[in-house]
Amino acid sequence: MSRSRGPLALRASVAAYRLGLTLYPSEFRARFAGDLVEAFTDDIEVRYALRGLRGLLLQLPGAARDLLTQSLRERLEASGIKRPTGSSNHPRPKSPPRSVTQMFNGILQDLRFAFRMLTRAPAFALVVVATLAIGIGATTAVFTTVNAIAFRPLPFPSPEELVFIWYTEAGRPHGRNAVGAANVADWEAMSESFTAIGMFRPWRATLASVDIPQSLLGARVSHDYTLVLGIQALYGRPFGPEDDAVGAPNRVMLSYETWQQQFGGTRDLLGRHIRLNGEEWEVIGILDPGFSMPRRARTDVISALRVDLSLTNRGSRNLNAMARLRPGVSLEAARADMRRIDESLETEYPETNLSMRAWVRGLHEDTISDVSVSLYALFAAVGFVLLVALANVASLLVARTTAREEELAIRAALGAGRARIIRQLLSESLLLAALGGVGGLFLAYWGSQALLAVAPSSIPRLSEVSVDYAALAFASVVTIASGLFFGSIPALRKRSSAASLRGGRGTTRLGAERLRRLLVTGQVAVALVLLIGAGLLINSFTRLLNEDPGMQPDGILAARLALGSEYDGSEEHQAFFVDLLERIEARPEIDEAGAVFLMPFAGGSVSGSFGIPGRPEPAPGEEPNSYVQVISNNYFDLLRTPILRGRNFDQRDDWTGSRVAIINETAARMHWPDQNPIGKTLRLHITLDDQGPDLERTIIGVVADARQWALDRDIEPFIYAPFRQYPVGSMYLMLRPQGTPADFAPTLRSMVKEADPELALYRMGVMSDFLGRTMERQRFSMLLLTGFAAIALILGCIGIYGLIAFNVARRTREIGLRMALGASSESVLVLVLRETSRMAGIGIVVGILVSLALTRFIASMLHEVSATDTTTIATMTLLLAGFALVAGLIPARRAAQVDPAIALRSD
Amino acid sequence: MDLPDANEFVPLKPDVFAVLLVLLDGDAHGYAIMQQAPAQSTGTGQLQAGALYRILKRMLDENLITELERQQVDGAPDKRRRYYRISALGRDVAAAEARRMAELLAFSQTRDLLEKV
Repeated sequence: MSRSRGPLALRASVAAYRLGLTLYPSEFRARFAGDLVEAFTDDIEVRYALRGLRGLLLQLPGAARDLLTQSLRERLEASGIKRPTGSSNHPRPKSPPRSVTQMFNGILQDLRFAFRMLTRAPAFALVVVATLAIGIGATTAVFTTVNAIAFRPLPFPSPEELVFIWYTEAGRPHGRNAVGAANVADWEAMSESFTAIGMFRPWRATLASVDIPQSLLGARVSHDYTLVLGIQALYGRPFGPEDDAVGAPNRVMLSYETWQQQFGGTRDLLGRHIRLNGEEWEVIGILDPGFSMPRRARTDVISALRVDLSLTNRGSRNLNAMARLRPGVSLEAARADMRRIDESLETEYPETNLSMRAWVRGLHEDTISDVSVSLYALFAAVGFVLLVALANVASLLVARTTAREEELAIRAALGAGRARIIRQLLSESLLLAALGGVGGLFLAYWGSQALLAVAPSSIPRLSEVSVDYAALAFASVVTIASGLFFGSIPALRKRSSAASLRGGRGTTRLGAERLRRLLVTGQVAVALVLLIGAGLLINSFTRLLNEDPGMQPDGILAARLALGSEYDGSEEHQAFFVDLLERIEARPEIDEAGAVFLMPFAGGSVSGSFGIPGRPEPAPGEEPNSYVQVISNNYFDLLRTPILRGRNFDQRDDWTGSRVAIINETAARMHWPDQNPIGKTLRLHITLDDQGPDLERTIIGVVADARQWALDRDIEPFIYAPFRQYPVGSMYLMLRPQGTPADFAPTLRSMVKEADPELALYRMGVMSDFLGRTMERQRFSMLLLTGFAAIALILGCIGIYGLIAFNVARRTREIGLRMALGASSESVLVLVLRETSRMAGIGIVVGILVSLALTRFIASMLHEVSATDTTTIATMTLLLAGFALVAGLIPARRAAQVDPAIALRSD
Repeated sequence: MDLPDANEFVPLKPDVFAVLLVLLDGDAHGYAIMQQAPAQSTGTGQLQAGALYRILKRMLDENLITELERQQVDGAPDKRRRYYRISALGRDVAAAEARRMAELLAFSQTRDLLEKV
């Protein structure tokens, strides 16, 4: 064909033109492409010969415009959207220019007609709308949640500049450990990366100046912390440097909500004193409504930290740090800066700062890191559900359009243009999408409420979740996009009216059926992916539940009691708790009562290094380490945790007796390997109330290992001390009443009030609920994913059922003929089921492959289960196959029962 | 089958009339038509290939022109090119359009338009 071996520019232009010709409809191209290329080539050759390259270039824009406009017009005419133009220039009376009103009326008419068509097939409409509502609703609900937690900017000025600073220990580069005030002061002096470094410490304060003492959640914060976060006062004033000075009077800022709820929002509260933890505090300001410190569920009160650096031990690390990066300083630069400082601090203070390194972490990352995996997994899962829903609807619509082919053909024969029919089909699918979208929005509202209700309270930023405009926009986009998407599939398929009128089974139906098969196969695959994901989480959760906690937390009522500062000194702490426990235990309905400093599954931990007298002094940083727990004498009996060796604490172990300790199995194994630890001594380097090093203690017993934080956390070494030798200001009271534990709560409250009317009990609850709460996240992810998988499974089965039933109905005559010719019902059953198995089989293979690729993303959510656990994959595959078989079996049985005589007579 | 009445086609689109005029002079291939069609005929300058072939397609469909078998071309047969020939209907339509325009022109002359331009 190519004759011109002319200059490159010519050949390139011709090649580009040839490529451009693909814009024309294939029919036109087949007829004229060769001539078009010839004409174009002739044309540019002449221009080139006459005027050179310039002549050629001048010709190209016109040719390009011609290509674009003419191909578009030809396409519009070929698809029937635009009426073919004739040679005559007659004004065409059939299509007068349409006014806006006419167009609007046309749309209204379309919608009315669409509505009528849908009411004539209510089951179809209902299934489609419900499917869409579920898909859109679930997507929006999850989007709302994920958006609030992960994507919406944190509610602070320039949140991208905010960072947390944690300490990491050698060998644990990503531990989030508290920092110390002395080091923070050095960082602030030496660092060039931050505008300020603030410190804070969580603070629980019992508010007593109101009718019922309230437990307030809050923090003690340094003045720099208020600068870092930009804390302002709505009324009154924020903290100034003078409030944070050593010896400054007690001053607090209250949250707007506390001010409203506890003090009725009176302005004259400012400047007045309130009682917190038994002390007088002046209220200097009210925080902005909704203010909450990062990573905190709520902040009721903040007070100044008033750290006395001259008294601070560099080794004590009991503060959290947040800083604001200077504008333009990157996280990496800040990290390098801090590394330099830490290295110099290490040289200067080797005994306390050995291998201590700061970990600078963006606030956003730090806030969502714990949950981001499950959030994204959730989002992916719900995206899959939406896909299945849309595929289902598309498949239903294709089936319906196929079934309506004759009707559409008649309308076409009566003069409806192709454009008119496409518009009609699009109106119907948009109407469906709109109804589904409205339903979905309602579901999204209820769904996000339900999500909030079952969501673990430990998920940060939950208070910010509400169905918002972003969610609304998202739902609308999904709705309209899905409407156009599945409306266009049936509408754009080429249809031969003549074939349809004859009721022929032409290629159009084969195409539609292939499309539906593809959609159903895809649904099966996606449903299997979700099922396998859910199966892995269920499996993991079951294993978690079967972990032995090492205790019996059932039937125990617990509540935390913190003494105010008027209980000063260890003896008083001890006396109060001893007295209270005795009076509780004396009640007939109480079987046992005990107390513990940090109740298992209630969070919190205290750990420290300890020395073992008689052993050589270990190198700095290599001292044995253990968690420390303070308990009442009968704590182990109460929890049914057995003493394995030696004895339990008893009456001897009081303030006057020699100091004793019990260690757990792990501590014994780790620190006294192959020895009997009973009778050995140890010395804790810290005490819980910062009173300096502890006295030397003799180990009198080894207790069985028990979980402290969660069933999926490793067991750590523990040293237990009797609280009568190691008094602390706050304890969890734990009691085993007869009957239902929660019933005893009012009695406990009144007993505490009797002992001291200014004390509030907080975190009152049944211990097994505390344990349950440590598994909330796993339970939450598992329940949601299981729910999504169930929806996908049901939708997938509807898809299979719909397609097979449709095909059986369509092939009734053929089946009747087969049976008349001697086919048995069994062979018909097999024939129909083979179709199901083929779709399900391909879907299953694809689903397994996709699962193998995807489940590793949820590996971090799994406990003791491999992300490619074959048992789970096999079980879920069988489950899906079973459902698919049933979905196919129902119409298959109908096919097998076809009466040949009736079928052959049928139309 | 009766031929459609030529008068049903008038007024003609200018580019269609131009193609008919070119073909009245003898069979021609696409590029030749592009070359010979008066530039004014389309109102937008020179006829481009895509536009031309869509016109030709339309005219073929309406039997105003016919497509020649490649061997039928007089003289040196150019096998690469497709030639077009005006049909009897095409001639009638072109004549009808010419008559219409002539009448129109004659009428416009009574209004002294051309002198004023």
